[in-house]
Amino acid sequence: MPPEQTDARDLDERAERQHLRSVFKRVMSVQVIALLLLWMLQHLFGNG
Amino acid sequence: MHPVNWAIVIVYLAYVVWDGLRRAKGTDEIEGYFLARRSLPWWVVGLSVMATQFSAVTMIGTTGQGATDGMRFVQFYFGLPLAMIILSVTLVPFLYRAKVFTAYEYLERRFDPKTRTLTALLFLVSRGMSAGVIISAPAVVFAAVFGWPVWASVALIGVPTVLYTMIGGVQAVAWADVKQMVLIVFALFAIVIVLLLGFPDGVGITDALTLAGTTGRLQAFDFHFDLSQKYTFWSGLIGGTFLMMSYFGTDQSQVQRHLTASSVDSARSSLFMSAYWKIPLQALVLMVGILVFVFYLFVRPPLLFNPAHEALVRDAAGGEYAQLESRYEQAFDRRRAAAEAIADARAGGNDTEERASIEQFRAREAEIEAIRDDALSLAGRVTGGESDDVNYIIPRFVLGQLPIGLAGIFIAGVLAAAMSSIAAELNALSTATVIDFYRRYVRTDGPDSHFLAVSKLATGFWGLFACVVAIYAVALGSLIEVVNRFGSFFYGSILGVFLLAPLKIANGRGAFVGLIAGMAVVGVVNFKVPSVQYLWHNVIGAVVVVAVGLLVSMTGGSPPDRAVAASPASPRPES
Repeated sequence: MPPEQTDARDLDERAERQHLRSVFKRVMSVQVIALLLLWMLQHLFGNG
Repeated sequence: MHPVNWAIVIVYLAYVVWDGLRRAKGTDEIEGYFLARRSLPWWVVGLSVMATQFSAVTMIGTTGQGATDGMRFVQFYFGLPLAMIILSVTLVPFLYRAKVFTAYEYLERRFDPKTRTLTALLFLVSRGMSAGVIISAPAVVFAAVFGWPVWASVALIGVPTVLYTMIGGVQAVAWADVKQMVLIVFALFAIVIVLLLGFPDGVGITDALTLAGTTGRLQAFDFHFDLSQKYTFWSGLIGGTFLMMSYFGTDQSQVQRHLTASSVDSARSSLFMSAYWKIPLQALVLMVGILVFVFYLFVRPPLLFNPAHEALVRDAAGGEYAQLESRYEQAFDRRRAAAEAIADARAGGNDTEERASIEQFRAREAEIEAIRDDALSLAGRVTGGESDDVNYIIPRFVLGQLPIGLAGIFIAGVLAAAMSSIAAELNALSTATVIDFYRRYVRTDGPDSHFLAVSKLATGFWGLFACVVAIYAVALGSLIEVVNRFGSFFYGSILGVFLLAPLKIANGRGAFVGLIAGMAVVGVVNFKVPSVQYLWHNVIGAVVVVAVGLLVSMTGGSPPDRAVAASPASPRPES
């Protein structure tokens, strides 16, 4: 494979990894917020 | 049910069938019929993935579970976002780029034909039966609530679904799923609004949540590490991650959804939709049940929610039931007074009075539960079986309390949930039958039109099979339980085989022996240590398959002979 094609592929893969990392952070942030809301619900109203 | 509600249900059914068929373009070839020529946008695939997993049992059973048990069940989904992220960087891009029709097809490329055939066969047996169960669960409830024979309910759900799935293939299924998911979410939000507006004057949303929380129904987290507890934070996070990875990554009914996406990125994005929304959606479903519980603190519900059992008990043990009802009425009035006292104390800001009212309320709630237990035992004695009416709580509420029109929308939503799940199963069953068996062993070569015709016949066959299983599901109860239990033996084990695939050292013999060993160990754990709950079976199965598979591969002598070139660690097939 010519070097310029290898470079292009490396760049693609790096961009893909970065994209997945940012999605991972977003998904986990949303889940943490959802779990915190459930936690608050349980503790604000759960003990009576 | 009011004619307006029936009209809504009928119009909805007609629309779904018509629109599903109208959108069924490009189904004149097998790749169009099974994979929509890999052309669907991410949001269609994402909604289809969610609709497939959201069955009628979720609409009526999980909401009912919310009413009786509260928020606890949400823990089951704690592993789902993590599983989706792992799949989106491992199996999904790999299966997509391998250009396969089924997940099992890939196993032959990587390992050998027997591993593919065994996993595909396990899928057909378990999913064929479960398609019947998915129809029968709402059909039995509809039959009892509307007083129909079970076959009529099965026909109402099964016939339109088989029709559009058989003719329109995966495109019809996916586009129907989109509408079905929108309808389901709309119905859930509408019911929440009606419930909030239906509380008596002086009872606000925070009072409602206090009443629910007082009975433990807002308990969403249980941090005890106890293998014998069905739903805990740890079983949901660890066992749930393995289960969801297996379901979304190796079960053909889900794999086929993301194989229809227009690109790897679209396939990934479709899974991220579930990663974002599944836990909030499931919390909404359970919250509907919790709010129905609160509603019934102020409006007296029936003592038994299953109307068929209620009628039988009145006939066979009328005197005893009348006594229970009388006790129930008095206990209900006392509990309502205690609930109102809590709201009054909160409004007056009187903490001491509020605490005393809460203690009163808990005692009254325990009294009601004891009477309900007696009534359910009586129903069990009369009907000669275990009586559990959780699945009837929401349908009775919808038909008795919701305004005209909204009840029709909710019933249409239940049908939508059932149809979307069944359609995906039928589509996947047909794909595995044709690709993994017919085209692999019976006729390996032939025109596309021939395989397309066989695929439609296979869809029709599995639809008929599912309907027959659904009609006889009550009589087949124990058999279905055996099949479902058997199914839980191999979910984790099949995941184990797919986890072995990227490991270069693993070979076909190791994968096959590992698969058998994984299922056997889970079977032994299931029967010898029944206290270990089923979510952990997925972890045990997957770990045993990987461990045994690696051991056998290393000691087997022959090097991995198959397409390690097709493993995820290797260059992409198409590049």
